[in-house]
Amino acid sequence: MANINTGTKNKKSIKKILVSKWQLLLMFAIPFVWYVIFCYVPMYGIQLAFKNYNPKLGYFGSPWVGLRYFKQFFSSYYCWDVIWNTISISLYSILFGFPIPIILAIIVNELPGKKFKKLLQNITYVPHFISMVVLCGMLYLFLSPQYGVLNNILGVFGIGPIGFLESEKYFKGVYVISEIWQESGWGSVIYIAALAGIDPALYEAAKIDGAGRFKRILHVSIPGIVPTIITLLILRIGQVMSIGFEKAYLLQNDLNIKSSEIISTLVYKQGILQGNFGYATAVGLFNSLINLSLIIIANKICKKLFETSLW
Amino acid sequence: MKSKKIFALILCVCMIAGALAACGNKNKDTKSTQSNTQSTKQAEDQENSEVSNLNKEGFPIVNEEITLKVFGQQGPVHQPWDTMEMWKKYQEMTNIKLDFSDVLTAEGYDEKKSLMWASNEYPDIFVRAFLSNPEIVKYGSQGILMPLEDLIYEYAPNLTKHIEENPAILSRITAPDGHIYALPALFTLNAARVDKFWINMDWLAQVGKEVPTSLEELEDVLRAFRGIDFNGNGMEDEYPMGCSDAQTLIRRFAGVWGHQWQFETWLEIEDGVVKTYITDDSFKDELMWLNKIYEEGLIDPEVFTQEYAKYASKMAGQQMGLFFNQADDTFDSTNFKGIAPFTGAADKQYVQAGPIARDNGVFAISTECENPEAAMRWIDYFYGEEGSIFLRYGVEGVNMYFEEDGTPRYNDGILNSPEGSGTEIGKFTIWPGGGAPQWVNEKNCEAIASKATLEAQVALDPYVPEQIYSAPLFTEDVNDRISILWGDIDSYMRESTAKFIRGELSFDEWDTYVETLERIGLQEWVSIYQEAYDNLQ
Amino acid sequence: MGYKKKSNGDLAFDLVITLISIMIILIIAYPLYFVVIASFSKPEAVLGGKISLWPVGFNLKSYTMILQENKIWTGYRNTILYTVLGTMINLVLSTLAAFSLSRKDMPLRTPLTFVISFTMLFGGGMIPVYMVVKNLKLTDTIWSMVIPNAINTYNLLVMKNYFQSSIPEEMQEAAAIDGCNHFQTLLKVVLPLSKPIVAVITLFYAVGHWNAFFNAIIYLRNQKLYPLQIILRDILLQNSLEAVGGDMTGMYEKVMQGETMKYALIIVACLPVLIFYPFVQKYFSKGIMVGAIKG
Repeated sequence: MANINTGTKNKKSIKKILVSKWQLLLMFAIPFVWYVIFCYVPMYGIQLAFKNYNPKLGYFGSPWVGLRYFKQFFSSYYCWDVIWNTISISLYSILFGFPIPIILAIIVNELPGKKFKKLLQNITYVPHFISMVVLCGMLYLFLSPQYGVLNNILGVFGIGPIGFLESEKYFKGVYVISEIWQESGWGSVIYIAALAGIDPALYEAAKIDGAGRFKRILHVSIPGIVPTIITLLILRIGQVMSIGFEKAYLLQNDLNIKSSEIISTLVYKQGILQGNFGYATAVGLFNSLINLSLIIIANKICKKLFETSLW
Repeated sequence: MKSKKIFALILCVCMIAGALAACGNKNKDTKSTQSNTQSTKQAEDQENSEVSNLNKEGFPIVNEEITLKVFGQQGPVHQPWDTMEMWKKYQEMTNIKLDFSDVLTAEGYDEKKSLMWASNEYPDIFVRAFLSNPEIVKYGSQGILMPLEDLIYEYAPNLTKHIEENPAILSRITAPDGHIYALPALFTLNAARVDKFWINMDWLAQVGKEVPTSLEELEDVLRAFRGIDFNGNGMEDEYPMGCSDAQTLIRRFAGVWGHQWQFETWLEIEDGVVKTYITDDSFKDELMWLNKIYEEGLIDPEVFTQEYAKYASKMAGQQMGLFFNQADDTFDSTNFKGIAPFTGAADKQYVQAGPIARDNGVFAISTECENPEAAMRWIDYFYGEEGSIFLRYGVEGVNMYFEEDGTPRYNDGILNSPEGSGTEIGKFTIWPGGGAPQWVNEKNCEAIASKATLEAQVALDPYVPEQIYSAPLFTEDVNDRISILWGDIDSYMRESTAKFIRGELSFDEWDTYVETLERIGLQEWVSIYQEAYDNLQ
Repeated sequence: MGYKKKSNGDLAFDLVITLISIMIILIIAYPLYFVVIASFSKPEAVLGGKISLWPVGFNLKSYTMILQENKIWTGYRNTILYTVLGTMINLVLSTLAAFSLSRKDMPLRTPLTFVISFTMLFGGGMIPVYMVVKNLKLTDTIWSMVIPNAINTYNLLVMKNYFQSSIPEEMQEAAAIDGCNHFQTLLKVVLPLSKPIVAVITLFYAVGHWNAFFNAIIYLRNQKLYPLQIILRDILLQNSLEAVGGDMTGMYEKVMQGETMKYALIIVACLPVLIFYPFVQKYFSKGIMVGAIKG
């Protein structure tokens, strides 16, 4: 709008910008072209959420069906339970899972002895490479009330046996704790790098001021990685609605389904297995809209509080 | 201001993107219409020569060589299709060449299949392509799959004969618009459609009991099995009764309580009325009985969580006294016996058998195919006596031989191959892994039905319902509705029945269970099947 | 006195975090150890929960069955190629975008960053992206393994924010005064100061390529181009219930073997990455930035 109103003046200033910033613009140009081709061009596929797709007619020729697929999703008896399960698993995972890589990184950073430090780092990041099928298989084995390792240990203390995967009570806990086990070490790598980027002079200065180890962590290490923490937190909040389907699906059984049915597993069963891609797209769009609002809010708050934001 | 700018920018990018995309699409559309008109023209031109090129009987199917482009899945244990003896020979026999460039590996097959539908470039025929019911109806009604019913009656005498003998097949393959868009695999062999009740005769002998015939005797036997270390390994890894999962266990005993398994779900038909029994008192009775014996420790507690592989290892390890499996594929059956369903809970028992047209969507012809008559003759061979043996056994003299009485046999070393018989057979024919256009009968079932399995079936034959309807094909709208309804009913029922059996849900809550199912839409769900049933009559 | 007290405190602190670390190592290491012993055990013993401290029915069958497949070696080769090439492309594009967006003087910086972030949340789905790749004639080429995923927005944003927060603006300004243009500033000032983050992003991208299989499923038909992950999944599939269509006649052993093969596959797939990791790790050690900022 502004562009049209103040025509000539703007043209001049655009020219000026182009002259002085051409290098920056050029740098951005190649990635931007990629974004247009591989992200924005395919976005016509979002229409699928409102259309009954017929390959013979193509995306643009297929008939509109309005909000049919959204209605379909919300007509499910379980839809609110499923939305709640998704959100609550996400919240637990942010609440407990998000700080742990930070703590782990600080521990690695503080550990005396280079070799031990490397050992800790090397071991903690390996679980990231374990496939979901094997992770879930191991969970069933370790948590089995008949012969599971954990129940054997609990048995020594006179507890149990507890069917961790055979009850809706424990499912979310198992899900989040196993995620922490698998991803914390991997997640800590980025904080370790951020810690390595802190100027050692700052530590020296704090030492001279008489700050103990704990105080140095509090006043040098943590402030040094706050921008990284905030960036990752905002990004994480933008994924609240999108929990992957594989793990929940593999850990699901008749007994824990009340808390293990999440949006992605429901869409898999009621949409994708039925070849109903409109339904899957519609639910995906619903998720994206919620994620978008959350990320915008988080971005705004963080900009105010920490002066760090995504955009 | 800022947000406006952002919005304007996104809009801009989207518009550019949209324009680009639209361009691309238009091009394609015009191209495809062009090729369409071209192909119809060609078809018209060829029609006269086509008819004379086609032989209505015998081989070769066509005089002048034609090529069919195949879309399908090369199973994980298959050798590449172009190297299979079966296809080599069949191309020679029929004079129809096959283009296998669209035969895809199993890894990522489903994704590639959806891309194929979206691509607007279709093959001539779909063989072992695992077309699902919704796909068949959707792409049939959209004009991508060719209606086959006229072709069947004219060019598929073998299949026509099957349909005349078993009209229930039609209920499996007829779409709501009356057309047939895809063909099924046929299992006239009862043993291939029924789970046997296998009981461990050694255990019975050790505890000094007879084969149980009534529920009371069964309880007695299971109690006797409990707590004995039959395999002597010092571990409590024996279970009086086991099953792959809780739902299957409930199904097996629903038959004992006199219920059938129509439309491949919890339905039965009484005097033309479709009804479900999952809210009946008799079903509650059954669950109460299962709950009783579960609490006594007579059922493997892992039945609620285990994967099939684990169940298979328990069968092979002879860790269960009574269990359910279609064949003795996973265990040594010498000391097992297949027994009949138990009496005492209902006047008449059933076994919950699958329909004859067990797998649907094993073959289809696309509307792009220029020689549908030849394609139909091509597939019909496999529904005949000779062709069904050919598909299951491969080429005579190379992979198999006939005994003097005409019984087909695999060459030596195939069934007991160290690589596994499926892998060995998958080197020359396409049936291992299922989903193939096959007719499995008493004569050609050597690889899947052992003598013990066939004997076990004898005990069950009287209990197989006369008419078994398969899951009907629904219109897209109905299918969308039923996938939500059934998804909710299934979830709720699985959870509740499992908890009833484990005693985590008291039977005082039965009314809540019934009410909730009604609220989810049980009646609507039943009425959809009623309508489908009425349409079939 | 103050000195002595502090070092006591330091000692206690060291002791506490060392103990915590040992606990963490034990908790993490046991399941990893389990993966190893399960891969050498008898399938029935694994399924039956009979393994706890050492392999039961020790055998190498899972490994011999995997390694006898010749395809595995082309798989390794392809994966290494895709990982190296892909990561290079990733790094160049991400660095360019991250640097330009991190600069306060970048025109339309905020809206452009938003436009990019937007793609993390909304996408057109599998089929339209496939159509783009197909129309560009990239399907069934190695480019389909590296171009459609040339940028990961998440990594890009992490990098951009690191540039923004950890590299003092004054240094970039000083460089400009010294006559550096933007390219020179990026190469001579920003990147040398960002070694740790570049190392992390390299790791993220490389591991992403290493573990990727979905693009290969969609874009590749030529089996000679298959990356390792697809080949491993395929081997597993040959030894699974899906392969036999639920009928295990004559296939029981194979299907069972699949149950321990799962574990062996993890080791076969991730051993090279574990070897590669220490090379990245050295960029994380404290003190790498000594003098850098002052200079």
